[in-house]
Amino acid sequence: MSDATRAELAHLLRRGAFAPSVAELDHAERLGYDRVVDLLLSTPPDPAATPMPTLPPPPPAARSDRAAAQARRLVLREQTRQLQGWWLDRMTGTQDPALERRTFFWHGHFATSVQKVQVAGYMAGQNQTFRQQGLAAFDALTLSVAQGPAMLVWLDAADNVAAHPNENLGRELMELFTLGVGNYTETDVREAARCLTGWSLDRRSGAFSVRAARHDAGRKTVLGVTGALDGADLVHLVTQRPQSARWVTARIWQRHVAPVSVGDPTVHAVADAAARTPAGAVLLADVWRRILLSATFRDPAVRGQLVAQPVEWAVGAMRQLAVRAREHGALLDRALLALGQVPFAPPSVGGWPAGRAWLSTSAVLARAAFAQQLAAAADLAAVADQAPTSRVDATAHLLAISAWSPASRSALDAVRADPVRLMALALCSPEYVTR
Amino acid sequence: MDALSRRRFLLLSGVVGAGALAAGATGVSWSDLGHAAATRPRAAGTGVLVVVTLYGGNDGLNMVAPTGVGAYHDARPTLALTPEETVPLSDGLALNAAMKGLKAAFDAKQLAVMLGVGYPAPSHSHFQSMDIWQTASPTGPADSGWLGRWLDATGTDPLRALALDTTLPPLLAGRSAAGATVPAGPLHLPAPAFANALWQMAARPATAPITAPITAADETRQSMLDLHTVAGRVDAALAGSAAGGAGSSAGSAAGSAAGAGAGAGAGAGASGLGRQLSTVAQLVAAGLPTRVYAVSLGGFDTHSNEKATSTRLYAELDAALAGFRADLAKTPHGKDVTVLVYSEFGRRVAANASQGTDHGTANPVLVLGEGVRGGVVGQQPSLTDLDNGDLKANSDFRAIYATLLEGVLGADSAQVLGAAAARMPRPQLLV
Repeated sequence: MSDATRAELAHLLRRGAFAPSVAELDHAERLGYDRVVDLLLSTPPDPAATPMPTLPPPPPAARSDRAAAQARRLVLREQTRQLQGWWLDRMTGTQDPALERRTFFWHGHFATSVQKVQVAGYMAGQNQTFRQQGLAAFDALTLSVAQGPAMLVWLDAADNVAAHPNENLGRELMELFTLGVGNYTETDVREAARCLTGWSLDRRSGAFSVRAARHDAGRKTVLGVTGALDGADLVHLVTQRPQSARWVTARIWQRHVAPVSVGDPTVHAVADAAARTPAGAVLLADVWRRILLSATFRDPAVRGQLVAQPVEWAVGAMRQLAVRAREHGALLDRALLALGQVPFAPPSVGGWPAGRAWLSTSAVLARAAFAQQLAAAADLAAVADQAPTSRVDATAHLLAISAWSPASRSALDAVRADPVRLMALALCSPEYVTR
Repeated sequence: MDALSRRRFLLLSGVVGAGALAAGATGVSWSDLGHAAATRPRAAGTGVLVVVTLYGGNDGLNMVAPTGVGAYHDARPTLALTPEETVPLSDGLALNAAMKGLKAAFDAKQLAVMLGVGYPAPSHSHFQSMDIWQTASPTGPADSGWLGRWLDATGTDPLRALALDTTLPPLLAGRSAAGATVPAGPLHLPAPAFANALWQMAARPATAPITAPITAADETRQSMLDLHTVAGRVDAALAGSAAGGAGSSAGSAAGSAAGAGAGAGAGAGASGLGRQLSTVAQLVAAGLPTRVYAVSLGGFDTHSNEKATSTRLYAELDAALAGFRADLAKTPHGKDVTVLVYSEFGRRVAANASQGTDHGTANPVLVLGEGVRGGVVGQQPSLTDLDNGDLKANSDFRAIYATLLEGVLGADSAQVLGAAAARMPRPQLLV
């Protein structure tokens, strides 16, 4: 196989999963590009996957009893910590990294934070939905997420009463999850809120239900469709439109291919060609497949256009250096907090920023701290055992970087006597921070 | 806004890359740069603007409440503030009682409350409306933040504007320049050898042709160079001011309370506002040449159970600002500082059935400082003559920006905001 092929496979794995280890890249070379795409979309069983912790329902909220409220807070905090630790360890250890990467994408798309939801079990349920339905039809995924306890709490949809509807879920459903600004009106938002009235949550069991007495059963008009629409009708209506396929395809594109606008014609062409359910919802597995096989994705010109999100950067580095989160979780937690990307705690319903927003001066500091600690914790024999003159290339091989820029090579050469410093500097390099 | 365009042209200027390489070749270290801050402090009397962004859509009607208006109580039967929940400001207007520190500033004539602020054809999207406020472009997407354009017009040093955050807020992203970000609290700088290795890696050879397009890798190098330019000076300033005893009282308890119930709407500060402002106070006291600081507090998207959430948030905001005021009173630089507090929109006049409010429009803006002409400015919009349930704004936020650009930063507002905004009548906010 030529170097170009290895570089292209490294690109596919970096974007479709996490930065590949030498063994993962060797395996990909044996399979070839198309079979690797199949593998990324196949979710094979993974016996090595860290099992999700059991999170029993916390003690009920008791506002009048301070001691009970404090006890509940402690349980909730501990469960959140367990859940965060579980996911990061699973990301660093799994044999199916594409599933984790895709699940993380959906977490950012339907961005929900435990800071308001509080109950880690609800967040765990949403995470399972992303795993199970992340490649399914977009209407089914969206309905499962919307009716899950995490989203019901997050966007106040469990408190929605006919007399004075709450617009939170209806608005963000259209603006951020399914259509994008410009594809609906303010009147649609108010009508959508009416459709969603009556949705309810049993906070003990997490079960969703519709309370007919609270539902506005009257006629509504949303996006030009009139009828006695309910919440499920609304979700189907907005996810089965062509604009919805374009919106979600653009969101996937922005995180996996290049920082395009939502109106990009190439994105529209991919979205429009993707397979649909009979009702018109796009099939997400086909969207992903078309993206990964597209000429644009395979064009070397897209390489380096994305900035690694902190989770992608740190988890990828740990996987390549064979360091598990469960053994070195503290340094990973510190880095993600300092970089501003803590799983289960996105900053808002809009999710995390993308691209160059991550290239702040504070981020350089945080990456430098993490990289030095990680390099010190890792077994760097693959670099250290080489002659000093070969170590910069050995580092590139370990990190699946096809070429160093002259400035990077010169700076790395200057520290090659110290493998830890060499590796730490490489992890901070422009070649490694971008993808 | 198009976040990708920020600093796109910075490297085209060639100034930073070539200069950094030259400096690196002569072995300038981080501590040398810290020393440079001490030898080139900001001149006394040079204005400093601190921008406080409240993410999520602050319910101005429950912060500065028109308690004297019957329609306020009618629209919010249980959400309207009761007399016990307010402190009086002026005729018919009262401040949320959680904001006793701001009430003291108001009584000292150092707080201006500007009413009914918005912009034409308001957006109800957190993200679109926040972009509009941060880019000062209500008519369409802009490629730069309003203070980013001020940076563009005034030089290349990233230290001129600092965000106490993990990521750069769009308001500090210019077309050719950008502010820097530092974490609130002490910096943990890498050891000099590693820091200088990072810097060498980021340097662009002076002989290399500088051509568009600027890549993400170029931007990565730029952030490393910016850190090198900024961190040593910030670190030295923090160390110096800690030794001098200034700062550090600003609402750190309130800061640590952040995050307990953050909401879904549009962004949140990276750390408690009290911590951010405490760090700003230390940097101001140290005479850092920074002219603009950006801090933030999130969680204002109160669609349900609003009273409990907003009381907590107003208490945090108030403690942070009161602590900041107290810190500034201890330093001669304090009188140079003007604080702007805004949010992307206000909220619907009528409460919803979840004891919350949905996205609205016009809102009060707060301006705080020794150089501020304290009092209530402008008119409370009618609570009965509404636009589909929302308040009608009667003043444009760009007029406030123009006042602050001219009066605090000594800048040409037309260059930053455009000719139309520069022609708007200026509100009387500054002494």
